[in-house]
Amino acid sequence: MSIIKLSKLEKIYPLGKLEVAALKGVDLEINKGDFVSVAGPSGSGKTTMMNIIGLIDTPTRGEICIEGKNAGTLRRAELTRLRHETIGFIFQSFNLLPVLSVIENVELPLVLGRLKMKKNERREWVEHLLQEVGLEDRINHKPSELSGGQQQRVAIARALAAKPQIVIADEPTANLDSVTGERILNLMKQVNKDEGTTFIFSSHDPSIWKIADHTIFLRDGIIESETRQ
Amino acid sequence: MIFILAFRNLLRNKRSTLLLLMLISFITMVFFWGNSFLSQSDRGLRRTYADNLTADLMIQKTQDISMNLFGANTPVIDDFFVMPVLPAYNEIRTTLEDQGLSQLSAVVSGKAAMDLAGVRQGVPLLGVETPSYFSIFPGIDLLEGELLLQDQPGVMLTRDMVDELREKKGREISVGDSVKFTMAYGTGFRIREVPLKGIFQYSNPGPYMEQIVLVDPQTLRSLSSVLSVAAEEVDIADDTMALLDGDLDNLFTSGDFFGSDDSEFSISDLEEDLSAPAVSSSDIMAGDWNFILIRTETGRNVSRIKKDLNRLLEPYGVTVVDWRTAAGNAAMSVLFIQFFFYGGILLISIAGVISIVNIMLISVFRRTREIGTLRAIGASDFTIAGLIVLENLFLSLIAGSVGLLIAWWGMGWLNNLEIPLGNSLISSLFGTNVLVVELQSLEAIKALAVAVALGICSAVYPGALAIKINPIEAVRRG
Ligand SMILES: Nc1ncnc2c1ncn2[C@@H]1O[C@H](COP(=O)(O)OP(=O)(O)O)[C@@H](O)[C@H]1O
Ligand SMILES: [Mg+2]
Repeated sequence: MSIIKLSKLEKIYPLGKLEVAALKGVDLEINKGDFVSVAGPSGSGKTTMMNIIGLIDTPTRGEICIEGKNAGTLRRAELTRLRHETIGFIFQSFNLLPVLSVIENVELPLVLGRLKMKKNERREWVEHLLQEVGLEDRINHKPSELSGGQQQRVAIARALAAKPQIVIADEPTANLDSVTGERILNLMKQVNKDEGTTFIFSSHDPSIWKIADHTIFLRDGIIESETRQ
Repeated sequence: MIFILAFRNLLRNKRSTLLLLMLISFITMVFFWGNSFLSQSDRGLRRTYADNLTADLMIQKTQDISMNLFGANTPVIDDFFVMPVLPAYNEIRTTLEDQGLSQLSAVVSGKAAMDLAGVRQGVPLLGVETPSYFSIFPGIDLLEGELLLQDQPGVMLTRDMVDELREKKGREISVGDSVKFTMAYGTGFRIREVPLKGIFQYSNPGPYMEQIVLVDPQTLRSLSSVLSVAAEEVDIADDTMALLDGDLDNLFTSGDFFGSDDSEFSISDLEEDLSAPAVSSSDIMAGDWNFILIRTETGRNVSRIKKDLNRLLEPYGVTVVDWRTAAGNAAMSVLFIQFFFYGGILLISIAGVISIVNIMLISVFRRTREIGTLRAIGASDFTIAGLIVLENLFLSLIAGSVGLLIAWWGMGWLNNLEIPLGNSLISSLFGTNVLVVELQSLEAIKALAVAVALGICSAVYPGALAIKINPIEAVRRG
């Protein structure tokens, strides 16, 4: 059963008086529990697609359904809720809040939502996540005191905190060296296996596409090919 | 967590936070000081007038012209003004006593020319009921001689007036001297001579109060009563009524209607009034009074009593007014000061809000990416708006407290200087001869509330803009 379904998805950016078509009719289904990579050269529309799937951007035309819900028909508050309850977002440039410590950053999505969790229960879960990403000895540090790889691991822990069905990661390794990048991806793969969380990550680097069990090749805003293992 | 976030955001943007802190604490300070001065002057004026002259409430005959203890509030109409006699005096008195109001004293009021030690001057006269008058006015302090007694002709003067005559004019004046009063009316004069019984002093007198002369009521009545027997004077009264009822436009255009700008206090016009042949003030008979003054027990709700009495006494055709109205224009001056002060505060607040909003807007714009991230990880409108409001709330609470502390300390310091107040208008505003402004926690709470309100108000627009930031901003470059 598909957890994400895109049909005839188009995205047109206005660029002064011109228009740039970043997505030109994308049809796609992603199954629950898949580890998906979105591949393609720079400018092919990967980021645009990830943002729309992650519900932080809206398509110009076409439909996106998450868990059977058509996002285009949802009200603002419902969209916020769907985003919060089903999706975890890992950003290329980490986007941690600089004033919060590592553990507070990870805890934040839990505080924002209506997930009922007692305070000590919450702490335990967050500490567990940080242990999983290997940062248990850094929990009280500020993001600025961590390396890029460490920050991205915090971001992964944050994306997983609210126990989302889907985790979206747009070029999660682009700002990391290749060894660290591989470690991050293996960590995501581990969680995908253990928790059954659907992962979608994008990359322009062919060497990491092979990790995925479902690869989507984008070129000029259309899906060129798809491979499933 | 949102609290922590808000608080740390403030700590992070040290410069704008500091700027906002200074701004809000300054406004709090100005507000606290201004309000303390005003409430002090309110209490001061009350002490000056209510303790010495008007008591807490005053009963007067209901009529169209606004009136104080010494006549109409509009100086020119004063020329034609007939001090109205209280109707149904006995019934009113009974009603008041039934209401448990026992601290009462009736007065008649008028103006006359006074001759003493060869000097003639126009004075406001109060014919007072004794001994009740002296018991409801603790501010009257007898310095020489004795208080007026019931049914005995006599006059009491203020020390300031006596000193003026003694020192500046070099006259010998002592208790027992004869004082002559003259009231002029259309075709003649009425003259009474009474002995000087006592010399007194008002605690903290207001402007012109040194001119007030206290007499026994019968003397004043007999000075005025000519009107009731002189038929032609009744005609004048009719003329007056005709003028008042008639073409008002005509009245206002007829020359010096507004000639006298001096609306400060009606007593100030006396000299002028009396140099010209004046219409005497009343057609008053024995037993008639113009006003009843009421002293309420401390702690009782005076405006409530006033309301109740007005309802009860309405059938008798009388109106109950508070000390402010009874004192006339002088007491109103504080209202003007208050008005300008609040106008000033409003302007400062508006300027403050605009500055705070600007600084907040910059801080929201700078954090566009961060707010977008919050959105992207699931923050609701409420959370985002709450964050901005909380930031301002913290800020204004801290800034308000700081401003208040400084203001409180500064005021205490100013009070310690005990700056003397020379001018009688200013000293009557403060109710004391030295500048001492009572520090009141109520004013402190008010100032803090203003600071917090300011903080919250100025969070509205930046908050609304913050809500509009889309989650896509989290990944937008630049
Ligand atoms: N905000 C934007 N405004 C205008 N054009 C954009 C914007 N974002 C992306 N584009 C354009 O859309 C196309 C797809 O971009 P993007 O989705 O970022 O591709 P990728 O992530 O694969 O590099 C590119 O041609 C890019 O220039
Ligand atoms: Mg991209």
